[in-house]
Amino acid sequence: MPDQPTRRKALVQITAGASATFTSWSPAALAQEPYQPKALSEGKFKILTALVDMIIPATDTPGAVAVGVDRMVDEALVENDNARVGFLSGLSQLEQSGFAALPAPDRTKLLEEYSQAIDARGDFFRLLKGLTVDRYYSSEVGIHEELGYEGNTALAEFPGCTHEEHR
Amino acid sequence: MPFRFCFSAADFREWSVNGIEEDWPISYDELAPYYDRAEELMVVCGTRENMEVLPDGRFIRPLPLRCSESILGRAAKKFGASVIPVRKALATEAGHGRAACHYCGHCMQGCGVSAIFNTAEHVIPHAQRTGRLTLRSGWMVRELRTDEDGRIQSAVIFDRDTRQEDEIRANVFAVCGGNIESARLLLNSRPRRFPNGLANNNDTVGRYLHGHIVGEAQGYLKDLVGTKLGNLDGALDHAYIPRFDSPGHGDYAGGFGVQLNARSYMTPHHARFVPGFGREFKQRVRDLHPAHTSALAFGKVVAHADNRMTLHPTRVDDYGLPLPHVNFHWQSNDIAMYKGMLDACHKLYDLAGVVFRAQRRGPSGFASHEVGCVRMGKNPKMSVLNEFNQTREINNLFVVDGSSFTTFPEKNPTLTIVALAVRAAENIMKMKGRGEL
Repeated sequence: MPDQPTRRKALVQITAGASATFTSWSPAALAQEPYQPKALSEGKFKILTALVDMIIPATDTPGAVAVGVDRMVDEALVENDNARVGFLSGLSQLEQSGFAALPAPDRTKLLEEYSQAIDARGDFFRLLKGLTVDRYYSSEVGIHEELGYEGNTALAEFPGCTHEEHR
Repeated sequence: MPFRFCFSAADFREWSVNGIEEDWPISYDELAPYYDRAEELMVVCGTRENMEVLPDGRFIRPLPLRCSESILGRAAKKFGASVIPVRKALATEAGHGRAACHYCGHCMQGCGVSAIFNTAEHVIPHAQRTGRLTLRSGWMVRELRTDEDGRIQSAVIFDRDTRQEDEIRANVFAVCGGNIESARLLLNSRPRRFPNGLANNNDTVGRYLHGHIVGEAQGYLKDLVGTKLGNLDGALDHAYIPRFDSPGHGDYAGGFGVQLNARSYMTPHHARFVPGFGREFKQRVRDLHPAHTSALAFGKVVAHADNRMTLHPTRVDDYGLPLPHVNFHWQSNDIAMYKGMLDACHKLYDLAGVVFRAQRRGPSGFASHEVGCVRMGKNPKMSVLNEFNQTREINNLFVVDGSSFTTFPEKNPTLTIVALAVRAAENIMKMKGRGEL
């Protein structure tokens, strides 16, 4: 459909928030554009990138970092004062506990603790996961490659259920 | 959603049948021919089901059920409910004077081909072609003025941008602003003879504000986990569960209907709630997504005199007109209904087999189904209009929208609004013919 690329681009731009920074959201294009964090220090942004990658890693489809979710979260924190305060506090704690130097299995264990915690660490985890999930599943990769969404198009007929076992 | 359900016979007789509220001043049999005319005008898809609670009409080709809806249908039978193809004013095939649906799932964002009935594209052009319609777009009515005989003489209108005023004289006036605004206009028009507002000497205009109580549940069906998603958007909701004797239905008066799958499949609503993170989390989100099903339940709200709109005592809008002030509280029947309908949705999911579920709303009144405020009725002390949408106190003033509802069942209001409007218009012509207007 000649309409589809325009719709997809518009969809990604609208859902990704401030998108003026990048010329294209494709993983290949992003990989070529270096990023200067805006809300976070470079050290904290590195930790954010690692966390986003842990939440939604690359599998048979690109992960959250490949579609720039870490950059989107950083941009969102510029405008959202409440989220920025929560994030700075959570990332500072991780910085101080030496997260950057931990090997991968220990990082996973630490993040698992955060995911089960009922204190500020739990709040931080839920905020991080929520932002990551929302942005990944609003991206072209998330919607079309990962979930296999084929809607938002025209069909001459709508095929109903043909499975005997469902009735 | 452009649902088209007519009321059942009992829905017009809440007092006689259930001992609550009041009976309508019109019966199902009297309105039935107008339901037919409304369906012809709007073109409604659906199936004939021979159910007393949801009378059949004239339908075109129904929407097909999705897998999730078939599975829910099988489960629904186990507790006395049915899943039927939805009835809505959608052209599911060509040959009805408008383009057929192409299943893009955008119904609620505006139909790009006008396959869904709407007044602007499917009624106004017909009226314009008679050469007798003057459309004043962007103008608002400030008040209606009466003559010495207490009949409406003119409508004072103004352009919202330029504030230029005009006065339209006519023989007959029909107010169709939706319940809050229609009542507001009557209350804001206060000639000497009607100090309380037009046709409001019995202090009933603005009262009996009601609508639907809404609850939603979402589930993920075990039989569909890990299947291929495909293109499921379609025309959003394809299936409906008509009112039935759900478990606990004796705890409240009235019932509820459930709209299934009125959501596109682009967003994984469950993603935030699936526990964990990483590869397994990502795979789980993917596997659950095709299994998604949602249930949006609409329950009857009892019409209560103290649920009402009035004019705000001090606040006005940009044009100096008193704002509407809404005073509405859920009654005990409404809360019992809400609990009952969510219990039923979860029971349905239990019977169908879900691996994951969520409940997305507390009781909401946001259904765009507000009715009442300029009510028709048999009792002149508790109503403003007679059975022809004519105000009792002013014979050339009609109020023809959802504000006229005496009571309101679980069904969506639009078909009934349209049927009443056709009947009111026909009656206006008859009255003119008899020299009564």
